[in-house]
Amino acid sequence: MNNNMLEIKNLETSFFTHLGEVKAVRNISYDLKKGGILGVVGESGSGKSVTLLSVMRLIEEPGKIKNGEIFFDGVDLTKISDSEIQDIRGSEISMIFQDPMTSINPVFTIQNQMVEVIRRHMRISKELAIEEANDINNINKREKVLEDIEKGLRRKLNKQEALKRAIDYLGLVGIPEPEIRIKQYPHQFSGGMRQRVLIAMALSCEPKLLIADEPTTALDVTIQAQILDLLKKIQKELGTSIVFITHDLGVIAELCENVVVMYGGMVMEKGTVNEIFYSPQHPYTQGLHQSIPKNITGKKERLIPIEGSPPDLMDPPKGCPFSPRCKHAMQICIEEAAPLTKITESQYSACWLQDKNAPNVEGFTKSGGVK
Amino acid sequence: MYSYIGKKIISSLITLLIVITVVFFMLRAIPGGPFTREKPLPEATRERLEEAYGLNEPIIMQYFIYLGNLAQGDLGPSFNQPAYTVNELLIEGIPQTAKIGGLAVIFIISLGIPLGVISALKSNTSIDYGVMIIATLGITVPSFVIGTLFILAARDISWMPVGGLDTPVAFIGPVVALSGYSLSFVARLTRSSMLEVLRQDYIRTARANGISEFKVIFKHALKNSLIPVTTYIGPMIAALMTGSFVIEKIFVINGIGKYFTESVQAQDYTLVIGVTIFYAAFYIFMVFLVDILYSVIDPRIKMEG
Amino acid sequence: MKKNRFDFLDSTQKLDKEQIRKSLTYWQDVWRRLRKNKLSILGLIGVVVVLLFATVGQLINPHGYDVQNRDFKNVPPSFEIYKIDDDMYVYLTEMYLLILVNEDGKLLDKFDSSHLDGDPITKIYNYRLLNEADEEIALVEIDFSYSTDPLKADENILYSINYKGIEYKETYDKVWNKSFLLGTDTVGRDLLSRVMYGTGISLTIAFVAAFINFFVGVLYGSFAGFFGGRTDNIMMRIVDIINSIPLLLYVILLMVVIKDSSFEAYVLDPIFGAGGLGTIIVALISVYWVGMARLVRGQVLSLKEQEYVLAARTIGVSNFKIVTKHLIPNALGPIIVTMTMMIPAAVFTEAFLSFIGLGISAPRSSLGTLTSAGAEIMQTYAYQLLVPAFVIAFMMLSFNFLGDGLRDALDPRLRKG
Repeated sequence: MNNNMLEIKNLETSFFTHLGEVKAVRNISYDLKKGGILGVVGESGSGKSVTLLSVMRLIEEPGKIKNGEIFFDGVDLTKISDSEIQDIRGSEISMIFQDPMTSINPVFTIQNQMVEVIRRHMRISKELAIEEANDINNINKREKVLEDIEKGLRRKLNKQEALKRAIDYLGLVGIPEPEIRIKQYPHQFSGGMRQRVLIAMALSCEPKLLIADEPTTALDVTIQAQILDLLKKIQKELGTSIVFITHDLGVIAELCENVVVMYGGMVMEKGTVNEIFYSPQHPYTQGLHQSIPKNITGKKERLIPIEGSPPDLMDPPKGCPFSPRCKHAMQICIEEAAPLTKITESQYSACWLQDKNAPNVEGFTKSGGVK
Repeated sequence: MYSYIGKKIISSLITLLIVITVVFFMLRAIPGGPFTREKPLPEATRERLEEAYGLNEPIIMQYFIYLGNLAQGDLGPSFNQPAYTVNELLIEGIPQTAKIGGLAVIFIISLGIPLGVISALKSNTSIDYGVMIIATLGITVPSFVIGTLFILAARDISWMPVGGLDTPVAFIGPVVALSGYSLSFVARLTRSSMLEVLRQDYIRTARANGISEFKVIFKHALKNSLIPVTTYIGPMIAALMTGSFVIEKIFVINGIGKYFTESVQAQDYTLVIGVTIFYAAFYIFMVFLVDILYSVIDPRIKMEG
Repeated sequence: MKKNRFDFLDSTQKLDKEQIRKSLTYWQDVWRRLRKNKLSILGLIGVVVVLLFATVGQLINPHGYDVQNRDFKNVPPSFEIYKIDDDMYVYLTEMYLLILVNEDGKLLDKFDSSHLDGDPITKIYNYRLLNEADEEIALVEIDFSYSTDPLKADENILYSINYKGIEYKETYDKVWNKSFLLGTDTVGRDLLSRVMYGTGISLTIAFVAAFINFFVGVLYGSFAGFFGGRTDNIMMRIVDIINSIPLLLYVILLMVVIKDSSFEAYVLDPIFGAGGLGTIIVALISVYWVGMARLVRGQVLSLKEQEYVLAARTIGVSNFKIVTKHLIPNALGPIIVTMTMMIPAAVFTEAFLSFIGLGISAPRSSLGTLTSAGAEIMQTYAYQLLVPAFVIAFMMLSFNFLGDGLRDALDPRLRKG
């Protein structure tokens, strides 16, 4: 029995523009445990969003999943039909996006949009279905309905039931007076409230997996903290697995158990939050640490930016995508991309410094944990 | 909501009054009167006529007399066709104009929006290019050219009448020529606005929530992309109204547009003012309706006024 | 070798950290984008062709736009000729005038048929070719009985031509009109010259109106937008009232008011020449500036809030300089697009006015008056409608393509693509 909610294997996604192929995701693999929270960090253009849009099969023209497999609860999402993935979206996997101001349809009420999603996916509970079936007088008909219920065929929620559920979820995500607010239009909500609405909408059909694509980036810092707390609470109370995409290492530290670091459409390093924070093994991850302000020790610290800019994905470097900016770049780095090398049971890094032939550099561990 | 509508009504009435005033004094500024044309009338006859029509009064008095009559719905007699009042001519002309105008509106909405949507959904295919080429022609070729070419083409088709509105077939020419521009505009506008809307984040949200593609397009995208189309309805009414001037002339339709152009050439004061006031009032009323419609479609428009 | 691959690179060996693209100025960038858009280049070429047609064309064409060739009325661009003798070809017009032509289609002379000498019973009519001294040098008889006599119906012709005792039933050839390439109008004026002249007049109206609109609109709009508050409120209220009825209605009313007034006689005609050209221009500019004013005001209002304007203010740049150096150049894109679109709109309005009888008067012509005149007789002489109508459509299409392309090229929101 597989314990993974999501397994991405050798995924490659490209956009075929009139100027040429943009290789947004180049051979990416990572996975997420059931009930876990995985953080995906990287700067803009690193392919972190495209990877998860691929999971949702929301890559639009001219983009295409070129290669790879995406297992969600054992099902390969790249192989199923459009209508099957539509059934999964919103009910088994939900996604929330970066900008809550533009992510809700402005011309419909919250009620309209939430009820639509709930009635699209949700069926009544088994207990209620049996109860209703027992009220049927005609014996043959009742038998047939009960049989259907055993097979998992239950009726969809009616409007009142869906409305009640929508109000419940608005309450759950902390919207005050949900039965009044639900009748309103998106423009009557603040940014933070809108993100809560989107989370409520995403959770309303009890998804097993929630993908959050920088959900706090567009919000004020205080609102950010509230949203993060809400996501933690959801994961604890509902057991939803969460993939959290961000460029903010601070957010990762607060929320996630495992981290994937992406750069130039590839995975640079992955591991537990402790490993990534206290023993980063990839020059890019180390660079990220030096470039964010922290005030742990109380000492004055100089921030060290990573020089240069992210690679042009139309014509990415042949070797390691980070090599042009890496202060430890070697000849091999510009010739060939490094494989993900196992460092501990949970930590992997894609750097040639981990190769046994590489010179020893302080702060880098050779493969197999040999110092 | 109600105070918003009330305010709108009041400002519409004020605008209308200003329009009436401007038009009235503008026409009175014309050198000579309606009775001083090529063939000069005998002095006595002219004076008698001017007295009969109240033209001997000071101009400001004429203005107030006119306003007084107008308040009772009386637009006065026609100068050039003394047997008729302006009201009678309007009543005779309006149904003809309203028929082709109304059909044109139906034609534009029911064809323009679907064409735009199809073009957007099939963007950059041959269907899209085909629709857009025709739409571009519709915008650039003037209605009177479309109308005359239609008549030119129809002269060899026995069942296609080239004037009047006596049979249902006779409506084809005037309606097509009248709606050509607006139809093309609506199709182009719907297409570009649909393409814009389909790129929006909330469409991605709807898809991410598993909403079927059909509902994504016809519920979530369509209503949003109709917002700019609604704003075009005001100018569209203007285009149809003034467009009917030439269409009625080309297709020999005794509509209000024909009366207007005739009265303008004949300097028939009362008829010009009467038709202009009718047009202005109708237009202002329609724009008012569009405002209301607009706020129904787009909840972000504040109704508090 | 294998070992070498793990040598560190020194800084010179590293790849360029950043590929620097050649930087372009704003106008270079606009031109680059415009060039990429095939339709707008077609539009640009079309506009140039129309401009050359109206200017250089008139210089090349041998006929004057107002010269009436009374012998050759309503001669189409191509016609069928009969050969009736060596080097003698004739063409019978739709008005039953007989014209002597040469084999290439050059119009030489008109046969005289003014005496109407003919036989109403046999339907044979005489056409005489006269020399300068009014002496008959040739007599042609045309037998029109074919169109009326049922016994001759199966011949399927309308008439036959008899010369020196020989009857000609079949046409010799269909030739292009070499004297008047696009034919002549109802009083025998060369249609090509008239269309060239009319295009020039239409363009003059359009350009003058568009430029004055541009200045009035920009001034009014930037003034209202820049000062804002109460000034803006009042100024925009005026615009709203003008806009509250279809603009074309005002134009028509203004035309009526100005036409034949002393203003036209003493002010406009001396400037723009007779025929009411000035009247149309004044009517157009009195009304259409409001669109430009609205646009500029909107632009200025949004640009006013930009940080760079704030920055300019904080360092004490004068209001005038802010408007001229910062606001207008930045609002220029949409203004240029509106200008480009205003030109075909003015051409269209002018044509529209002509069509309802308010155009400029003969002998001057505009595309509108030509189309309107052509429409009156289109059943018989379709070419007189089709030629000016085609030029209008071609012109509108060209300006619209160019305008669309300019809009895409100038739109700063799309500049990153």
